[in-house]
This record gives sequence, C-alpha cells and structure tokens, in this order.
Amino acid sequence: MNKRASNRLPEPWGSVIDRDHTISFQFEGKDYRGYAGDTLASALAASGQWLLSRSFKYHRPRAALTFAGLEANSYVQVGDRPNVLADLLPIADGLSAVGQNYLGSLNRDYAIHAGRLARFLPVGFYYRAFFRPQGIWPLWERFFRRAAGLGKINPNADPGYFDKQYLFADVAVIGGGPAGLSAALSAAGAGAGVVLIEEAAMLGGALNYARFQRERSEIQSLRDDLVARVQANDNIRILAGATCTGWFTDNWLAIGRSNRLYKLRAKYVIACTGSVEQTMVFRNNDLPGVLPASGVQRLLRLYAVRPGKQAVVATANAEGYDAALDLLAAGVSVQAVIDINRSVANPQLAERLSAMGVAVHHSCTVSEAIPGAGLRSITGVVVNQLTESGEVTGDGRKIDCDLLVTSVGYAPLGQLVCHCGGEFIYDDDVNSFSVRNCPPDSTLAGSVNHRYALEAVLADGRSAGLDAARALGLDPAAAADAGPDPGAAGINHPYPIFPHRKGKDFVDFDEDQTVADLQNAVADGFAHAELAKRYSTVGMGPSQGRLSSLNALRIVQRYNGGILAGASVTTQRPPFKPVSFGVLAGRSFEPERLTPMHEWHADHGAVFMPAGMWQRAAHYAGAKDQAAAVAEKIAEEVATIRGNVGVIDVSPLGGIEIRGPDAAEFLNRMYTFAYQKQPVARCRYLLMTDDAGGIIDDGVACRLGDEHFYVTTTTTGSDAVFRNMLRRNAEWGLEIDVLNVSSTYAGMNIAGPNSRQLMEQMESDIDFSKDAFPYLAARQGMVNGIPVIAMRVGFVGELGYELHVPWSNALTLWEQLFAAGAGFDIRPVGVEAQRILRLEKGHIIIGQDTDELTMPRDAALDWAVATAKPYFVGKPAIGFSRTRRQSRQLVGFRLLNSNGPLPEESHLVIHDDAIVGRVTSVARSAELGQVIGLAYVAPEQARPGTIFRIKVDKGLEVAAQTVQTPFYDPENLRQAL
Amino acid sequence: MHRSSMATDSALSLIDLSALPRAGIKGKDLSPWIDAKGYEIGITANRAYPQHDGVLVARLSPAELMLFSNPLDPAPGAITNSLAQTYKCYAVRRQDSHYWFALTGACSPAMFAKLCGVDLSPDNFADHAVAQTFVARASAVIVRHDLDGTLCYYLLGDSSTIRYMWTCLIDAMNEFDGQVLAL
Repeated sequence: MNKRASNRLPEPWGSVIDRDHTISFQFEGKDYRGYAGDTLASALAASGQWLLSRSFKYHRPRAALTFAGLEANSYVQVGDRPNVLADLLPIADGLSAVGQNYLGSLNRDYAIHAGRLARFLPVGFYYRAFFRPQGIWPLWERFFRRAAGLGKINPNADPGYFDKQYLFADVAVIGGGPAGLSAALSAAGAGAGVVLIEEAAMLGGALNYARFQRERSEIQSLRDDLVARVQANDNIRILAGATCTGWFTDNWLAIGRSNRLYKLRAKYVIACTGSVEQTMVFRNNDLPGVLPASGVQRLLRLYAVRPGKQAVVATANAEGYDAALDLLAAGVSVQAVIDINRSVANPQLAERLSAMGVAVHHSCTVSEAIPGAGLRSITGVVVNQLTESGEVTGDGRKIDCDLLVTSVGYAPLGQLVCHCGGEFIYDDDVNSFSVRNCPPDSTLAGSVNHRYALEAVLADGRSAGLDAARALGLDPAAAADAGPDPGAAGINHPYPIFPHRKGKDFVDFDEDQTVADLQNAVADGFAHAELAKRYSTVGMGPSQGRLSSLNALRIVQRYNGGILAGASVTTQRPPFKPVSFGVLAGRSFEPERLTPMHEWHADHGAVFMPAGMWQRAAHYAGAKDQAAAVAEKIAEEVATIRGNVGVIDVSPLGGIEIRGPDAAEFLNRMYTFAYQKQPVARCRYLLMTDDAGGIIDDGVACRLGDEHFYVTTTTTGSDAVFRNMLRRNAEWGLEIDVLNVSSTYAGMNIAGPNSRQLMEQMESDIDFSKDAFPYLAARQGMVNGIPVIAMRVGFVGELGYELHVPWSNALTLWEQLFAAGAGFDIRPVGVEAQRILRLEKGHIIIGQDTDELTMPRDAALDWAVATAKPYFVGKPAIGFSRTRRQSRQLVGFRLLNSNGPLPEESHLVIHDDAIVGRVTSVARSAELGQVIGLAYVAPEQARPGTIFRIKVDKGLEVAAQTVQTPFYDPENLRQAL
Repeated sequence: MHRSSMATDSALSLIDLSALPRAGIKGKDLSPWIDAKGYEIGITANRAYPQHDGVLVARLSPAELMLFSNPLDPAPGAITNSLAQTYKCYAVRRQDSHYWFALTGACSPAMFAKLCGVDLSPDNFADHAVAQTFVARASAVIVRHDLDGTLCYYLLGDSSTIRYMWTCLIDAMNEFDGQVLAL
C-alpha cells in the first residue's frame, strides 16, 4: 500500500477486497493506491482521506456516511461525469477523481465562510430578498447561476455508448439481502422464473457486515449458504451491480447497470429494498468522523478499513452495541457507549461490553461533536444527561474521540413502492414510516417491512416468495411462516433530535437545513409537512430525503402541534437514485424510411431532408452549405419541369387499396368529395376532414375497377389515414377490405412538356397519347415489362404521369427512364423544386398550408366538398361552420417589393395592428419573376388586389397583395396538354 | 440458403432472406384458397403453420396470411398460385412490401430484447409463435421458425426501413459477436 495507508485492517477483515491486486488512482491530483474491490471512498478512507465533497450551502466538509451510495456526501467528479457516488464507484487503474462544490481546494474552501453568514440566510431567505431595489435581480441571478449545481458538465464530452434492454420475469426481487435471497429461493423453488436485482456487486446485503446480535461467523456461514443456493438455482437470474431506479405501472421496473438501462416487466415484484440508517441530530453532526453504525460495519467487514482510533457509540438499539463489539474486535478503543434510551437497549450486550471495559451510559446523549482543524474531523464529543421527556440537560462532559458512531433507527427504503402508488405513513408502533398501499401483484419483505430480527427477515422473505408463486398460479409445497417482528418497536428511537442553542444541528445534509430552519418554516406559516418541505427545501436535495424526511417530519409535527401518527411525507418520484443522461437517452431509435432510389439519389448529388420518417431528396446540388449554388440548382430543377422533363421520386406518398362492393360508398364517407359515380380508370381529388371538419389529409383516388380503388395519401399521413379507415369501418361494417400498400409501391412523377415523348419511348402496353390517356385518367399496364399504375395528375402544373411501381422493380424502371430520357437531358428533381412548382399552381400542402382547425372553406376547397351527400366524416361540423362568420381565408399573395426582406413560414399577417393570419408558404418564383406565397388573411383581405402587411424578422413589415391562384398557367392548359 | 451456412445453435447470425419468395393472402373468406392448396391452417391468429410443400403460413389475423418459402429449399413459384382476385380473397405483394431477415442462435432472444418489448425467450415464445409488434420503434412481424433444431426467428418489416433495421440489428448483435451470413 502507499505511504498514506494507515487505516487498513489485516485479514480476515475485508471480504470484497483482493489484497493481491493493487490499483493506483488519483484523487484531487494526488496519487493513491487501493485494492481491487475497493470503492473510491473506501480506498481513500483506508489512506486517511475522509473528506470527499463540500456541502451545498455552507460548504462544510463532508465524508461518506453509509458507504452504500445513499447520500450526496459522496458525490465526486470523475472526468466529465459529475455526481458519481464515490462509495459505489470501483477504483480502477488510472481513475482520476476530484471533489465537488468548493472554492479554492477541497481541503481549504474559501466559501466555508458562508457558514458565518448563516444567521442572515434563514430558511426561505431567497423568497424574500434579491428583488429590491428594482432591477437588481439580474445581478443576483448571475451570482446564483455560478453557485448553483453540483459538479461540472462538459458539453463537448464524448457521449459514449449507452443502450437499453428489456428483461422479463415471473418474479422480480429487488434487493439481494437476507430477505431478497430468501424470497428468491422460495419463489424459484415453487417454479417461478426470478430476476434478483442487487445494487452492490456482492449478494448478501446486511449479512455481509452485520452481526444481528450473534457471532459474526454464524452470520457469514448463513450468508454463504444462501448465496450459494441462489447462485446454483437455474430459476434465478442474478443482476448484481444494478440499481432499480423506478417502478411504474404494471410492474415495469427501470434498472440501471453500467451503461445500460434494463426495462424489466415482472408479473410479480417483491421489494426487499431494506432500510437506511437515520442520522442523529446534534450540533456538528455532519462532520467527518461522525458515522452511522451500518457505515462503520461496512467499512470494517467489506473493506477492512478502520474508521478511527478512539470511538464513542451513541445508540438507541442493539445494532449500536453490535457496532461497538466490531470496533473492539478491530482494535479500536471504544471510549463509551451512550444509550439514549431510559434504560439500555440490550442488557446482555451492555453487560458484555462492560466486561470488556467499555463504559455504558444510558439516559444521556451526545449533544455536540467537537470539530478538529478546518472542520475536517472531530476531536471529541460532549455528552449530556437527558430529562425524562428526552431533552438535553446539564453542562455536559467531554469525551475525547476521533469517531462517533450513531445508531438511532431506520427508515424503510420504500421509495420505489411509492413510485407506483405506495405511501410512507408514520407508524407509532415502529417509530418510523411504514410503507402502505403496495401496487397490485407486489409485496414487501425484510426491513423495508419492519422486520429486523434475522429469523423474522428470512421468514418474511420466504413468505413473500410463496405469495408470489401463488399469485402466478403455482402451487408451492411449503407453507408461509412469517409474522411480525416483536422487536421492531425497539429499533427506532422516537425522537433522536437534540437541538443545540448554537445551531449547526443538521437535519438535512444536502441542503444544510437545521432544526432551527424547520422551526422557522413552521413559524412562517408553512406548518404542513408538504409546505415546510417546499419552503425549507428539506428533502429536496439529491439524497431525496432518505436520511432527512423522517426527522424533518418529527420536528415539523412537534413544532406545529400536529399528530405524528398517520402523517405522511411528500410524493416520492423516480428516479430513486440519480441516473445519468446517457442512460436516459442512450440508444434511442429513430426509424428512417428510404425509397428504393435512395442510393441512386445519393450517387447523383442529392442532399436529403426529412419528411416525417422519410429521407427525401431536397435537391441535387451536391452540398447544402453553398446557398447560391443550391438556389441555382433548385431553379434549374424547376426549369427542367417547366421546359423539358424531370422526374420526382414520390415514393413516400402513402398508398391504400380499398376493395369490395361498398368501396365507393366507403370513400364517400371517408372523404368530402363524391366517388359513387367516378368512372373506372379515372382519378379524383381526395380531401379528408375529421369530425370537427378540419382538414387532415388529401390525395388522389384512382378507380381501378368497380369495386377497387387505389388511393394516395400525404407522406406523413398514410399510417394515420389507414388507422382511421380501419376504425371507421369497424363502426360502419361496410363490405370492403382495406390494405396499406404504402411500401408495396414506389412512385415517380415524370413531369414536363417532354414527358409524353419520354413515356412513348418506353416499351409499354399503355397508350400515352393525349387522346388515349387524358388528364386525370388512370391506366394499369406494363412499362418495360414492369407492372405500373399510371395516373395523369398535375400537382406541379405540367403535363405529367405519376407511375406507381412495385417496390422491388422501382429502381430498375427509374434507371430505364433516365436511360431513355438521356436524349432529352432528363433530370431528377427534388422536393424543394416541387414545392415551388406546386406553389406556382397554388396547390396546398396539408399540414403546411393547413392546420387541424382549417376547414375546406378556409382553404378555398369548397369545390371538393359534395354537400349533397347524406354523410361524410366532418359534414355536420362543416355545415354548422357555414352558419358562422368566417374568421380567416387562405389566399395567394405576391410581395410588392421582391427585393426587400423575405417573409418566412409563420410570419404574421397584420390588419389594423391585430394579428389576423400567417404566412404558410413563400418562394421566389423565377418563372413569375416575383415572390409569391400563401397566407391566411382576414376575410375582408381576401379580395384580389387587396394590400396587406406581413411582419417579418426584426419587427419589419413588408407589403403584400392578394392574388388569385393559380399564379402560373391560370387556365390550367399546360397540365392538360 | 445452404445447410452448411446455417448457424450453430450458440452463434448469433443474421441472414437477409429478402430475395426469397414470400407472399400474402388477404380477405374475409380465405377457406376456398386454403382448401385448394390443401393446406392445414389453424384458426388461431399469431401462429405459423408449416405445410406439406415446405411453405410456412403465418396467420396474422382471421383475414390475413403471410406465406414464406422454405429457405433451405426455396422453390420459386411454390409460394405463388393462381388466385381469384376478389375482395374476399386476394394476393398481397409481400415480396415488395416487406423485407425478410432471419436471426438464428441461442442469443437471439437476448439480442431482440435490446430492440423489442416482447419476450421472445424460447420458454415464452414457442416455435411458430408470431408477434406483430415494434422492433427498434419500427413496426415488424416476428415469426419463430426453428430450422433443424436451431433457434430461428423471421423478422419482417416495411421495405422502406430495411437499411435502418439492418443497422440496428448489426449494432445490437455486436455484444454477442453476431455475424452476417450470406444466402
């Protein structure tokens, strides 16, 4: 070991460390060494370095308490990772960590002088200060932002690889202590598949360090036997080193282990989550050198670390006496045992200690720890007599020591149960919280259920395992033998709180809240525990009140005159322990849909843009960061369609086939237009509204037969439209069958004045001539041996054919089209050009030019509403809306000054200084030589020629004029060529 | 797929079977077609039924079947059949609409557990069970169809997501030393 090593005990102490493997690491820039199996906190403690961090408010020195990762005292920064629990972090070669929340150095923190200002910083001071004089807050805010938070995040840190995995179990047992081991064995013995979750690397829980008022060797044997049986059981999967951080509906457990989040679904959950030793409240109770008994025992038994040389034990139960015996066995001088009960908690153990020369005092308490240099240690304690009512009396006497061990009781670690409907209720029978209202198909076992005696704990676990098996329909042979623990009442002291007139009697270490702070909260009128918590922030730190809520409730109820029995604490919310952002975010899945021509597009310079889950070719400029070149390329693509022939990949359009004798009636009900008389081999526009009359989708209906329609949907609407159709027909019961063929067919829109010539060069049984294949006709046939559905539609306003082709043949046909069109200088055209082309025609895009409140009349689509039909979805609402004044109208506009600032989508339309609408589409049209767009305006602004104002960036306004659409080819001659 | 290229039981392997024949049959009355083929197909949905000609038929619902050729002996044409195209019974182009992957090996359920919320462990997802679910947040059909005693799952999903799903699977397989096998 290194030169600093002074606290390491010889074997057989230290069950988890491997003395044959030495590990070197750094803390605060200094070199240390420890053993494999050590945590950072234990290895530092072995080297005499107890101080790990500074408290949040007063920057007081803080050391680990439980050595079980239950409190924020042990938060350290490891590289880019803040708030790492040093008492859970295994050391590794090269590990480098630093403390948190100090100004200067960890040992010499200049901000500790904040403690001297404590009297000026009473509870809730920030609610009453910093806002006067007017305008001062921004200065304070800068200060607070610097002071707030623990640790440092590196925004440029390598995010690392985190992922998630589902797990499934008949029974999940949370906690691998004696109750959990017992529960897992009995459930698995009955045939259940069990997942056993344990936060520590080693199973056993308290069996690894506690005495249970017996000889340690007996406990160790029991532990080894239970663990061996669990490990040998094929029905039990052990998940060690894993923390269950949340329990959600239907027994969905969130479990973090390393860089993975496990999502466990269990049919039954047994919470054997144990309990956490509570702090004793007295002056300077937060200093390094004051430790709970369980923390001391973990240090001794797991890590072979001697926590001090001279100890005083302050206790209210037998566990404190156990700790004193352990300390003596480890060679620590126990100066005294201070039993704060009226009589000693365990006469047998008291007698045994007395026989070993340890003075045992009852009816007294430690009222103050005497700090060492820099508050980084203690040099002794002050012990006072207690009155019959439990109050400190007399002047007290000093006992020298460098270690004070406290053992005054436990609070159940039932927070996970509370995530899913459970509650903490103060229970006078056990002087602590009890966990009530377990969610369905779950139960508690062990000390979380106030079983502390070893036999009671094991029996409770066995019984819980059998309950689980029965709930699963299994028939366990064994019978339950659990009952209440008669000794539970003597474990928890009802009020281990000894306020000091000089203060520094901390209730909450995270937030530096003292007894006086809670008194003041009650005095300020925040008397209810819920209000006192929020006002004082007690329990709101990273430890989430695990070590403070019980005492805080006791204090608040005492000072507000309330009854403690039945009182509850605030809602416990996940996560139970801090979870890294990486685990929360890790390995998210964002499905991405690609067309069959995606690679072709990429090879031809496409720059892609998202459209829902799709990646679509935006343009073919080859790069997206050269604005002028991109604009030039888009203009070139527009010109290709207007003057020659281009092809747009429209595969992302949705496709749905409707078959059956009621197919036309079905469309009549689903869409606003009329389809009963639509001829076979013809296309018709589709407009879908919801029950409120709002436009939700559009497309084209292609009648392939009397009882067969092929309809297209918007790119992002296909799944919703399909679901909508299935749901509606579940109500209507029409004789139809609906099939989603969105990825059965790819689509390509061949458009431009030369498109007919191109198609006529392809080998096909379809006659593409003007007379044989007129505008809005549809044909089925073969093109170059590939089956197609061909439609003459005019979204971009030119002669064109939209071919819908089986997915697996699409790339072949696409390439054949380009081969055939080489003589025309055929070009691929992207979405950006398509948007300009359709805007020039005044065609809307659902979701961009409409929202869910847009009714057909608002978008000038009344022509697509067949009001004579008896019914379609949305008809009643549309009819009703027509009895009301219209509030807005979608119109075409042009800018009066095309060289001025350009509006963008969602810029506001202003009328009489009121907002009356917004821009939905805007583009510079090279064809028209002006900036054109679509916008919602007030109805009185809808008349062509009306001038209105649009508010653009930087508060500027530009003038626009309402224009009749289409902007381009108003007679629609070109698409009908 | 050649028998020699089958994964051993312990090795996790991914095979793209998308080139092999598959089809769908849909409609309210499939019994005439089933009878004509001489197939034995139970009425239970979300089950697959091996047939005498090597075709595996997965019943996705009372009104929909998905047909897979035998990867060990794919016979083009065996999967397709002349079919009256009525709304009560018509063919569906599953060759186009869905990719078809196979994952084999004992680690497959653990690998799937990184992507899918359905318990696919052999004890809980029997041979020829079918799950219509989400894998890596994309809709998918999973069919367990053990081949020569090797744990095997067919994974089918929307053709447009084939590259996405392939990437997700390769990523999830890394931990298990998974390998890609060629047909």
